[in-house]
Amino acid sequence: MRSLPFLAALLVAAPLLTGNARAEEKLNIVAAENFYGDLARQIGGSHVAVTSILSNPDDDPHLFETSPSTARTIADAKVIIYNGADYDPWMDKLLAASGKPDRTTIIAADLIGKKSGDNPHLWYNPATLPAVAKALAADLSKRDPTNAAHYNANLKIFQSSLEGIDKEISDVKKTYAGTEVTATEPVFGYMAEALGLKMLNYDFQVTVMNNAEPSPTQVAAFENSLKDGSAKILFYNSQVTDEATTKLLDLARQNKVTVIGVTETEPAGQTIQTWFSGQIYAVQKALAARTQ
Amino acid sequence: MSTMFDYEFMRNAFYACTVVGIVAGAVGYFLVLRGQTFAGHALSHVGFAGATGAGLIGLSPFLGLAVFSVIAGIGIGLLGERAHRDVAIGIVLTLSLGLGLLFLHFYTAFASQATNVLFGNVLGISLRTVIVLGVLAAVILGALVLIARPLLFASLQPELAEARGVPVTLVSTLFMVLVAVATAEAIQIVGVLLVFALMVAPAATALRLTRGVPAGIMVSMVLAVGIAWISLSLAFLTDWPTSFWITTLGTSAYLASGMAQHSMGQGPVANDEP
Repeated sequence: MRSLPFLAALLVAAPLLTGNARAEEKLNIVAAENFYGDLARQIGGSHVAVTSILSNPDDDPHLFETSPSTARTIADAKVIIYNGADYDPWMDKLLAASGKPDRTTIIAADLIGKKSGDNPHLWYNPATLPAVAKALAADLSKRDPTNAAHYNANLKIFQSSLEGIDKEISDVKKTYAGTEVTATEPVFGYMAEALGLKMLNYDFQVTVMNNAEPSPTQVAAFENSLKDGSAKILFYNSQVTDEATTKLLDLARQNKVTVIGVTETEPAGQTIQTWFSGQIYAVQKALAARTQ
Repeated sequence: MSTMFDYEFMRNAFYACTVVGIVAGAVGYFLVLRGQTFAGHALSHVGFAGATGAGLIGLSPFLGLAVFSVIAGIGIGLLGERAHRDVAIGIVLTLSLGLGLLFLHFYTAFASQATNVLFGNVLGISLRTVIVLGVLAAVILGALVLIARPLLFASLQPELAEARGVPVTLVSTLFMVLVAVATAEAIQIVGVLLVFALMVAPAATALRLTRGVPAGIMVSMVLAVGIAWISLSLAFLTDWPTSFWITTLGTSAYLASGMAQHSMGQGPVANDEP
């Protein structure tokens, strides 16, 4: 019912009142995770209002519980972006609870062909963010044709900035492909793969992610990879640290394995570009220091 | 307040809480009367093993959850009708949690699909789910009505009931199966804490406030639904979790009923005297 005057406002009022931002009713976008929210802001610019649900880097996204205000924000949104692959299953439920025929849902997992049971930390896969950006720009252009040029220009800028990051990735890959690394959780998995790094102890990481106990064999293999120098870097999820992780971090430091913390949400004050570049630079620096 | 019902998710939450409240109030009354609160707690947790096990062999996690809960219900009913009931429940509970961990150990993929089934969300209920919930509630209430008389007899005077030829073990096992089905269905819709909270506190309050069984069941159901409604409204206003409000209001109702009972001069024991 409310969507008709809203669309009318977009189609008629917006071009007439350009320059007066207050007169334009912004398009509501909800992103389940804050990096998708950052992406939406970069594509939609001043024409969209973006709400990110998971944005506190100190929260463990796997333990997230929705509040009524979150459910309300979702019910009011025109465009929803979320990860999928059972990373944010609460989103499916909240969407089912508020049917809305004119709402667009962009699911990252569907765009790049990932499904339940795959590593759900898809945003570290270099294919994901460009695909989401493209889908979002297409949808915004359809909803708001008068600003289509704006969205497409933003998409170009976003894509070229990610190409810069892809170049940083391929530089690391060229020099250090095949280097063995390990991680306490599979958060950084896709990026490590893109960097050409060989990930050790993958089964350990899946077990931790599933909240099960790693078996003695898995723990022993993990500790050995740190002690015998095969793992050059230990990635850990700096949002989820328990006693067992702390123990492994200590062991890594004792054996001069570089420890790099990665996060499941974009840290405050960063953009997708600075966040990714920073992590790739940390990997490059660590590997360069070892080969000297 | 008036805007609350503008949202479909809030309307669906009220429908679902009404259905769950009625079932939890009725089933909970017998559960508390029989002193089997711990069994209810256990049954709301054993589904973990079923969900992960089913996921492992490629079946629907919910099917696993339901089947495992029913088996555990039968196990608790058969093992522990007599003196060592709590021990039997504790053993079934820990065994199934252990099995759940073993199944997770064998997972080579990400298991969130299987474990998600354990975390319902009262704010994420579709209208279709409400209808499924309603049908299931009707089945559970129907079955409860069928076994109500022998169940009550077996609960209040087990020796006498057995002497009169009431199949005590069968009746109590059937009741446990009902509790298992009720919790299994409701867990994935509204969450563990909410189901359990609606099953215990309203029933315990009703048992304190009433003498007759039909009146007790009615009060228990009305309290459960009322608490759920007020809690949803408070959650919407304060943005605090619904489960928090339900547990808080439930506890308050129970404490208030204790005071009311005290001021009326009837101790808890008075109810049980012939």
